[in-house]
Amino acid sequence: MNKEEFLRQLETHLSGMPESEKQEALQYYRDYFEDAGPDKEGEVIDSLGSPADVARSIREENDGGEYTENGYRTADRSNAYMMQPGAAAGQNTDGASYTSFNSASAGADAEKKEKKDTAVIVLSIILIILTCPIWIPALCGLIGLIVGLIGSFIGFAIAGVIMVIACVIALIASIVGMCAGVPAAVGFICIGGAMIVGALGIFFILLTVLVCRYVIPWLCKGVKKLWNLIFGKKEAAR
Amino acid sequence: MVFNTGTALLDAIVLSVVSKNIEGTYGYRITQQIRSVMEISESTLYPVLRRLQKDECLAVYDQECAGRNRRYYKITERGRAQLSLYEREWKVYSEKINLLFEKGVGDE
Repeated sequence: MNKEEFLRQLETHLSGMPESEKQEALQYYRDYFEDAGPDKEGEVIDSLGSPADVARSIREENDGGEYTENGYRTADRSNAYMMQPGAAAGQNTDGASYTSFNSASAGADAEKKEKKDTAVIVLSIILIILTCPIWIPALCGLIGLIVGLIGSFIGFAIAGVIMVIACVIALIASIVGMCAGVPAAVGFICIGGAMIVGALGIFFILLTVLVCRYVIPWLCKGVKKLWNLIFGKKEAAR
Repeated sequence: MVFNTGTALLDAIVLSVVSKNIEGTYGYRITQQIRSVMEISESTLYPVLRRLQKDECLAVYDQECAGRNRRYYKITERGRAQLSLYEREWKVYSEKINLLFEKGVGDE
């Protein structure tokens, strides 16, 4: 099959379509062959597929419905197109409206939205500046609280380690003392005391490990979420 | 290619390719440019171009070239608005997918 043959067959397959549509499509494919050049004629014909398939793709687009080409893009593609205008609200969680192709005011809407967004950003900046006597102290307080919490946490950890060390030293001292002639009662009281201190120390260390393992990742996630909430939204609005 | 190219993405790609040619461009060239980055059949674009033209996202004009009229496509204001919408949507979408591939989904 050569180019002329292909175009003739295509024309036959397009019969019944509005004349203007038909001529438009034929002109496109004639141009296409001309631009590809005579050397690539065979290659183009191979790649285009049969005139019947090409005609179907043109016809189905013209009917406003589905069109099929080489297999993998068949139903998906037309569904995606058909679905978009209706599913706009559902698909967009961040509120950016999907402007459907078919809506008459697509361009105008997008522009309007842009202007509105700028106004919102300017207003928020003014609001942030005006409310600074409130949020700066609050922020400082929050930072203080966090630093305090971290400090006491470190304190706990160090206390735990020192208590365990103290327990070991006291145990050794008691045993050595008892060997050296300290009364057994006093020695056992000392050992008991050391054990209690040691147990508390281990408890503190365990607590620290738990905090490191669970609370810190949880806090980090929370901070990240908060960050996204404040700054992510702004980004989206822009 | 493994992934399907949906209609919206294909529209976005065509609008983008056409928009990069301020003076306008023609069907064969658009097809070859797109085919240099992804697999599409040579018959894919005519329906897309025709639809974009009907939706007034593309304007067409004929210009003489080597003794014949060649049809040129040019992006319209409306096409630009639609393209910028697609670009924004694509940015959000691709970032989300990339994040999912790299870090997975958070437990929320």
